[in-house]
Amino acid sequence: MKFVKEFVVPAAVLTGICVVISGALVLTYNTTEPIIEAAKAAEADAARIEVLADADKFEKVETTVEGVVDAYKAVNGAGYVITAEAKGYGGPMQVMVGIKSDGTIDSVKLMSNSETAGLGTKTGEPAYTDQYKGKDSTLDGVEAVSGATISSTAFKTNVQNAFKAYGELAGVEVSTGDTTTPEQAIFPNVENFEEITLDGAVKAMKAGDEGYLIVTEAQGYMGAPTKMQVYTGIGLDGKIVGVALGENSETAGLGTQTGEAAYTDQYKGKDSTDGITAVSGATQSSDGFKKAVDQALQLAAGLVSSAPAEETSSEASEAPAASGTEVTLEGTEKAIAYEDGSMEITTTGKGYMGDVIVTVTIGADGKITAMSVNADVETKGVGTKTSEAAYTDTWVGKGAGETPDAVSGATVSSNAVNEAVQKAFTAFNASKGA
Amino acid sequence: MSNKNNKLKILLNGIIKENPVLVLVLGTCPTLATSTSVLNGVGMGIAATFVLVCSNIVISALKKIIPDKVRIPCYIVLIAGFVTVVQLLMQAFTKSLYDTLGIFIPLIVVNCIILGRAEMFANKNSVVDSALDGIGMGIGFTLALAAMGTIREIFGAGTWCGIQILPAAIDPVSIMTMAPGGFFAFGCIIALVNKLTKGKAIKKKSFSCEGCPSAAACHGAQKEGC
Repeated sequence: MKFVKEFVVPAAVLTGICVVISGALVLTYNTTEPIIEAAKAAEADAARIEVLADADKFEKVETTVEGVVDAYKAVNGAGYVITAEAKGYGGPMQVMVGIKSDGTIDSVKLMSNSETAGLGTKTGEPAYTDQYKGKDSTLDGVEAVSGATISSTAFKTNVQNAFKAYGELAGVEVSTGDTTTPEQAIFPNVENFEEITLDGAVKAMKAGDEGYLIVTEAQGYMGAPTKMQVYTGIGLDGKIVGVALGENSETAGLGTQTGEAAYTDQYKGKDSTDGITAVSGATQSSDGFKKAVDQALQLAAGLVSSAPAEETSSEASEAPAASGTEVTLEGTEKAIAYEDGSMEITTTGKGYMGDVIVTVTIGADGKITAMSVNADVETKGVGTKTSEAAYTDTWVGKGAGETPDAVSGATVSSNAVNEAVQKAFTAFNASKGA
Repeated sequence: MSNKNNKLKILLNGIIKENPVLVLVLGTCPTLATSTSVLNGVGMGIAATFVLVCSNIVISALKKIIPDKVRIPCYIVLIAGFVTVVQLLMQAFTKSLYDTLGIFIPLIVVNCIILGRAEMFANKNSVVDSALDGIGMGIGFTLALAAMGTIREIFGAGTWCGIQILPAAIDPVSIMTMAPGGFFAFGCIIALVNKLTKGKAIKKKSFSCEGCPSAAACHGAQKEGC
């Protein structure tokens, strides 16, 4: 009996109490569970309504698109709310996208993420997310957060995947950007593109009988060996028909703006890249783009019969900018020596406001074949005229010591150009002679 | 007559004389954590009171059945059960308070007040008396939380129950809503209560040695106690 009292009774009592309490808990749980679930669903719905204002209730739907976490359809037909996940900078990043029934975005929201506080997390701020409002699947014009490229790209990828899911669920075609090829965009009326070989170009085509399409590469914002590809369409008159951005790794929304009409339209009708304004905030990408177009123009000179570049020595068509070797010459900023004996030398001269930068190509015969001037520091409309073709063309064919007339009203700037050119000649002669 | 007086005495005991937070210094952790605002503190107080009353009643009712050997596990199971019930009810019906109190709701299980009263009172007294004691202690706990909350909220956030009290121009002393401010307010109120009761708050007799955690090491155990 003592045994029972000492061991069995305590255990039995404890067990009994546990059973009773468990029963009470089950009862309470069953009573409160529906209420708790309903409250949770309402909370989740409220979060979804944040990105799709016209909706009231949602029902879950299935989708097979990769990268999509879940998708909900608005019961009243207002649209869809899709949550997608992609790898951001610090880990997976979830974005909730509300797409209206007309295929445009109502709102987007950054959900769980491990992005850098203050940088990548800026993709969650209205300054960035507001851009998406009203956009369709092409997401045209969305700019990345400066300094948070990877986070911005991940965010954008999420939105694109959400659109893919939307396309699948709503049964609509979703285009994530232009599907016409760059050559078609530049020469819309040409049907026949014939590939030709052109040394120094990535690719070259004859565009029907309208002109040529030359694809060149240059260093953009991203460091070597990544390059940006540029398509330049040149008409038979030597003038640019149009340009387009090809393969590149430029910053989405910043450097990639060089591919947009606002920038590329500047080139139309020009026969040189003088006077092109760079994309604000994407200087290096713009410079790379410009360089590539310059290259294309140089290469085209050999193909196009009435191009002004023809007046320069025939070396122009055989001298692709890429096959020169850089040398160090005293008194110059930069110097490239080509196989045919010509040199491209960059020097500076003291101008009116600051240094004027001159890049002059001197042929093997000691005469100038090409020249470009950067007089951006000079007075706009006055000293800057020295950078225009009207003036630089007058230098073509000149030898050392031969100076054409200065630009009227811009004597100091013209003298600066002369100073720089003469420096180039001195360096050129020094490298050839002694 | 004396019976009624007795009952009243038990009830009032927990409010000032043996206030669990300010005199017995039990349940300090949830006190400091939830008294950042009056509404939070009162919410916690009510939840804890409910559990306290229920557990006191049940433990008192079962005091003859529960063997001494397993009394602590039994008490804990009972208390945990009641706390879980309270938690589920709060999650279903008072969601915002549930979200604010967060982890401190399940922590009511280990709130010393509840286990302490079970040991000190409920397992020696009748059900009615235990219930009254539970109510009294619960009220005392809630009042203490309200007092702490009032001080910390007014000075630390400028509001009382969410209503702006301090003129918006004055910057609140936000350290009052943090731990250091909490301890400071706590100490001040204990000192005040001590002064009001002229230091006679705890009579040694009512502090049973069995309930004291250091009974095993204490030399004065079974004699006059501390």
